[in-house]
Amino acid sequence: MKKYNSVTMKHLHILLFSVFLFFGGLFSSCEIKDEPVVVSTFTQEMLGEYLEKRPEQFSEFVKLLDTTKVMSLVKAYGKYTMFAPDNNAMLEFYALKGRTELSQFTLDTLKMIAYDHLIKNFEITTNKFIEGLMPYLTMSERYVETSARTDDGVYNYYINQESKLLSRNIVTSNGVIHVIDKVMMPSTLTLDQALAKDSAFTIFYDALVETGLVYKIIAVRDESYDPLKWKHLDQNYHQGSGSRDEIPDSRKFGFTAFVESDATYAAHGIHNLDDLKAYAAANVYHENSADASVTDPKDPRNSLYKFVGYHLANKKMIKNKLIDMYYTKHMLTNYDMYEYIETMNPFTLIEVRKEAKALGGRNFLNYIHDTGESVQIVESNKDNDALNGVYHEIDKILIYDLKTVTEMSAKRIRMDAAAFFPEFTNNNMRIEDLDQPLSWVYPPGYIERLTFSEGTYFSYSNAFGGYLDYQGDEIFLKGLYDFELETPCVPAGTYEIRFSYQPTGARGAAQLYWDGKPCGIPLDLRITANDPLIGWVLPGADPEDPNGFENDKMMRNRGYMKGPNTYFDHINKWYGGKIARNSTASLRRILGIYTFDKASTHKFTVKAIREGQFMLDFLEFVPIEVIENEDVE
Amino acid sequence: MKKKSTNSKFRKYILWTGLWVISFFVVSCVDNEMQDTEPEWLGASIFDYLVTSGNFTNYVKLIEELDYKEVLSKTGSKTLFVATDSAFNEFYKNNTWGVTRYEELTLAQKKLILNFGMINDAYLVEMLSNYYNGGLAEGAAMRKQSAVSVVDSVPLVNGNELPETKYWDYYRDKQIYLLKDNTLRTIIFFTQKHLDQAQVTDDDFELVTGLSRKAKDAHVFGVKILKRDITCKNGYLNILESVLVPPSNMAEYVTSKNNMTLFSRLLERFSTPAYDQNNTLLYRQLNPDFSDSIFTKRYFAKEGPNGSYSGPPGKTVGAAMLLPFDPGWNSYARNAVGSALESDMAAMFVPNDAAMEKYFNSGAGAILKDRFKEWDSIPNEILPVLLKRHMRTSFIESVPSRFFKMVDVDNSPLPVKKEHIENVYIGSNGVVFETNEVYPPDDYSSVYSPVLLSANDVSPTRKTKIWDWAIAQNDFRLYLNSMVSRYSFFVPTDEYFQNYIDPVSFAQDSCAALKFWYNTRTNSVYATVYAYDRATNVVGSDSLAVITNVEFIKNRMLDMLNMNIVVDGVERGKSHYLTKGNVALKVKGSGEDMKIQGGANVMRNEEVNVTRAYNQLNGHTYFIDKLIQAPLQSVYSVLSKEESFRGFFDLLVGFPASSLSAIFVNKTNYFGIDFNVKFFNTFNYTVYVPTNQAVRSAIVKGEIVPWESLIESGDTIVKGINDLECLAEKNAAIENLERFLRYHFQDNSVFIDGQPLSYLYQSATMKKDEQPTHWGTFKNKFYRIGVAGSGDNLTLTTENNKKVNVDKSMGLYNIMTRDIVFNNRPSTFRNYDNSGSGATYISSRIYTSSTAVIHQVDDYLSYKTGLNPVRKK
Repeated sequence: MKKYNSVTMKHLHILLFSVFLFFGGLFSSCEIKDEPVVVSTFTQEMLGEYLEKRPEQFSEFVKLLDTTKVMSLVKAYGKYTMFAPDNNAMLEFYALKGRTELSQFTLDTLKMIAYDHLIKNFEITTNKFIEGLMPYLTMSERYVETSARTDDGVYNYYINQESKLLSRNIVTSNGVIHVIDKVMMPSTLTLDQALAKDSAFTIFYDALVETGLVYKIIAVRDESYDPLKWKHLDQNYHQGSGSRDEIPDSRKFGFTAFVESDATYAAHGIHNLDDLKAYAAANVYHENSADASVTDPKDPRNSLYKFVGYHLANKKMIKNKLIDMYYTKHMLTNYDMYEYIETMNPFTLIEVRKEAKALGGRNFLNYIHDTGESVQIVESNKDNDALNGVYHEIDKILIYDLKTVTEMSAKRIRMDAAAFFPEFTNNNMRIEDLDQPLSWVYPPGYIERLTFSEGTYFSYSNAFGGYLDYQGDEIFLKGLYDFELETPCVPAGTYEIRFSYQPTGARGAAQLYWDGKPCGIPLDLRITANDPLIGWVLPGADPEDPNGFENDKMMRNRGYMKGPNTYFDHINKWYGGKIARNSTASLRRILGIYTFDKASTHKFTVKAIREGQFMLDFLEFVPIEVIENEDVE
Repeated sequence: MKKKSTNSKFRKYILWTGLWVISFFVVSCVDNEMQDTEPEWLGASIFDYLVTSGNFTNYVKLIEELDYKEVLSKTGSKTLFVATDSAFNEFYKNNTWGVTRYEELTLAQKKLILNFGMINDAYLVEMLSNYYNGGLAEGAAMRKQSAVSVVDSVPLVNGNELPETKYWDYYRDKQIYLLKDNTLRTIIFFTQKHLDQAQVTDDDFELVTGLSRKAKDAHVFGVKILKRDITCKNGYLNILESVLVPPSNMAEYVTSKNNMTLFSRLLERFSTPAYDQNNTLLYRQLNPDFSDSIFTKRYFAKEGPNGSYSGPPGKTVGAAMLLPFDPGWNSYARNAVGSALESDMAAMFVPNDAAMEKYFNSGAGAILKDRFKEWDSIPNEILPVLLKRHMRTSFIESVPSRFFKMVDVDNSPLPVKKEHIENVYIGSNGVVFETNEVYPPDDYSSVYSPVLLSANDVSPTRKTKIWDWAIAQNDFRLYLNSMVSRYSFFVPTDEYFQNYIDPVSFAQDSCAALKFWYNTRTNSVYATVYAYDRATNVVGSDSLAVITNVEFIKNRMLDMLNMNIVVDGVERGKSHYLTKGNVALKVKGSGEDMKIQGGANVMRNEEVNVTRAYNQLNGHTYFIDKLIQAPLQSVYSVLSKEESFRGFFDLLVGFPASSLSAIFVNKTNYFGIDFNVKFFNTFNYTVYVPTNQAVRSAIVKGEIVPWESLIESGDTIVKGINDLECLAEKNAAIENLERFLRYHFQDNSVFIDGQPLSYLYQSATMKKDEQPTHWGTFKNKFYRIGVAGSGDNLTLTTENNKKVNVDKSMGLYNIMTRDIVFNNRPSTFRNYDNSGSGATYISSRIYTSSTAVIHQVDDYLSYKTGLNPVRKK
């Protein structure tokens, strides 16, 4: 017997207010108008049952789900969001494809259509919609673009700009249904094909071909990866967030291109490929000056190659995933936050700065503090989605020149551990959903820049409000682990390197190595910051040291630092809802001072020497020039 | 139609209820509703079945003789594993007890056979893999406790059969009632469900049992169940392929094997008799004539029947001496989350005598032989790390298909290969793999090894007890055992642990020299204090105090450890090497001809000699005859005392104490012997000190403004900062002077040490503009200095391409200094003899330090590009 509840307006306002409090920060720059969320609940019906009971609306879509056996999925327990085309939409689709009925399509095609309309693990009501690509993937592993506009005075929501929501937020016991008037047909072009077809970026595309980099952005997925082969790794382990560690379903590749339009080039006197070559030759920074004379554009040392490579990353990052998604509720909104993206220009980074929310919360690429120069994404032409990537138009020329390397090598680079691994981004793991923290355990070889011993349990837990972690997420290990990861590249220089973690009684002890050399004696992760061995004192508790700066120096003398003052555990589950700097459960271990003669990646090795948990929050590379006057952020 | 039982209704009710409840818990597939009449399929009682079958006469005799007929005929719910007469006939032909017919079985043997094949509950075979552990764990069980009573037989053991250790000596000429263990023996099952769940492969099974198996086969230890789940009214009966002789536990097995004697003797050293009060009383009740005491053999172990066991009261051993588990513990249960007695058992890899001999005589174990001549002479303290490597807390994680990923408790790989396995024994508490290889711990081959092996040397000049204690206290063992690193490790032996000049006292009125010694009663290191005369460099002969405070001693030992480890070789032809603690060591010679000096050794004009050198897998260990002492002079101290450094020093100390530009500080978190360089940061540095002439030249050329006006022949050549009237001009001059001075401080200590070099280093002055420089330094980065040398000189190239040379003419180069950071100003502590006021001397701590090497240079360094304006009068 179905149960229908109408939610009162009062409740709706409360819900709406809460929802916007939760997501306001997350989608601050691109939220959709705050229409009331009207929820229809059918909590005694599964998604599949709801559709089956309404043949007048969904008989064709039901037929599709039955044929593809997806129906059994949506009639079982789980969490889904379904975009259900009604019968008119299905018939229109048949006609568009020159068919009259469902049976005229191949099973593979039908399965893809079914998967295009289904998002697993997340229940997405319209209050989570944003103007642009949402950070959730359909079961066909495509992003969904949401938008809203007023048509003839009526406010409507759209999916992929074309499919209008006829009814929305139908909540069943295993998910949410939005009824749409047009079957979703995402593009199947790969990133290189999508760029080739876009007439606004011809010069860049020519350069992409000229350098051969076009061939580096065509991979879609690792077909050799078979999750069934790794079932034995499943230990039914539940993280503190409550999420159960899963074996990744697939191993997808992904890419992002930051692209200047022909018009932008023209404004800089670049009208064709030769002009671009000349521009690159004149401006690209070469760490090794001999590279300047390399003329073969397919040689990674060549100027044009470096120029084009600097526009490409091996992560598929919709704009929201450049930095906004990681600016979780953990982060205090009065501070800037930074992300670093490795590019295909070998050993270079793009810095993404998220300005403090109080200042506007804008995003900048390669912001130069002295001059205020930066590159920004053109809002009107962002998130151009392709099968294996996305491209964004940028408003100025993005280049790794002397100015950029100067800026980059003289500032603290703090990298969240999740930023090390493109697999986390490309397989939609590095996301935050306040309702649904998730976690994964990784088979060997899944993460390219990571190796570990057979007995190592290497997992990642995405952002959860109870964690006192930078950006809310963490790498987590347990037992007797032994792993080595390759860091993203850092510019040449002398750095103090720090490792951030949360000490708790459940941890173990580990020997840490940097580039193969032990970093002092083993680190006991059970010792909390207020242990006399470390000497943490709550800032403000000592009247003679009101800001805790003297205590900071004392801790440094012992090889430790407090956590930064820029984030906290926002649901106060275990750590008292304290800012990391004010918590005994947040520490940075100073690994040592290291000199890197050239920009390069590095090896960070961790080997358990006392069984227990281990976690990695972030690594910091701090040029020694910065240390003397470093802030507490 | 089977005849109705004549048993009382009550008994039947109990039986049915029992079976029903059990089947509920084990998720039995027996579909048995409660009913008044017995179903046809239920069959006879276990005893009736055995009698009726006619081919279990041996078993029937056992049951009758041991008075179990009533139990197995009428009541109870049991699971029995029995063998046919033909299996018994095979058993009589060949068995370890030497029994050839039923009549030769002793009462104890009969009890063992019957009780060991009996579980006090009714289980279908497939249900044996389930157990209840707060919740039903399906397919997770491989063991159940048997019905064998601990006191079924209590052996009386002759003293000469006891382990040859001091713990047993009291009984050497006596006899002792000794249980091998006082917990219930367990029966081990290999069922399909458990093997699947534990991912134990058929190949694993075959290597462990020597049997091949088919799907759904079930085995008890290594005996196949031929016919299973014969349903009787009082339980289930299973017919085995052969007679199940109760296996020993792992410890019993190892000690009984004549080809494992060497390993067994090592293991036995960790055993001791423990008085067993409960079983003594129980046995006395059962045998009223018995008035003696019963003991149980126990092993020093972290895990045993009652948790950790470290020996009888008053004779306990330290935590480092405990085995991971008691190998004689029948009811072994792994101490891990989700683990229980039923779910797993232990495993041991026991090298046979041939393997032990091979290792000792020709393998990596030669270091042991060299030191101790024979296995029995190896001190107990050295053995736990070896034994632990061979004892595994989980059988499931030690099956052959997982050999490749086994690691020890220190996370070091255990390189067991299938071909190493000579024999396998399934004991009642675990599996013993007899191996033809020894798996030595890293402790036996790393640079730590000579310290471990010499910790109990009889000769104090070779004994390393103090250093071993320091390593344990400061958690350095695994650091030193890192096989991916290469170390040079200096080890002062116990005899030479004296004349340590304590840095805190060095800054006080009374200076102390400490002599460290190992207190065998407290198993801790103490320090005796002697007076040290700085002026004469003489250590007094009277002991003035004894320091027993562990934290104080640990702190000083940590400082010493850091300055006794070089992360690399020290026989690479250089004269100076930096230690882990950034302290430079001056090294001459190699191997046992090597001589070493730390900064304080140079100051005291003494050399530290290597007495013995060991070539280890991850580096070299050098035993030395004196303590290596880090410099006791700071940068401030050296500069202030040398007249040739006067010009530069005066510039450095001219900053007002409150100025943020001050270079020397003495304040919280910087408390040192005198003043510390403010921007030093637990690292190693070089300070280039221009000659007084060069400083004057910098002043005259206008590169800097001095603090005081330069007046010659009554003329003011340069107006000093202190005489400037314009505040802006003054501040600019101060900033310029600070930047000038900091350009003479360089990261990384660079010595003139016989080796050519050419490298760029950073100074301590930040570049604040975008002007191109000789070294192309970026804005907001430290200006750099190019350093090149042929081995006996150094030439510096500055950012403005100026060449400056180290001036050796006065011998003012390679001067070692150390800025130590204490937990407080030394003057705030009382003296070591408790004189003075303030906190106790033993509460003083060394927090950290930075070191620097000082060279005089023939000109000043300058980063400024363009022509320098020359000031005029």
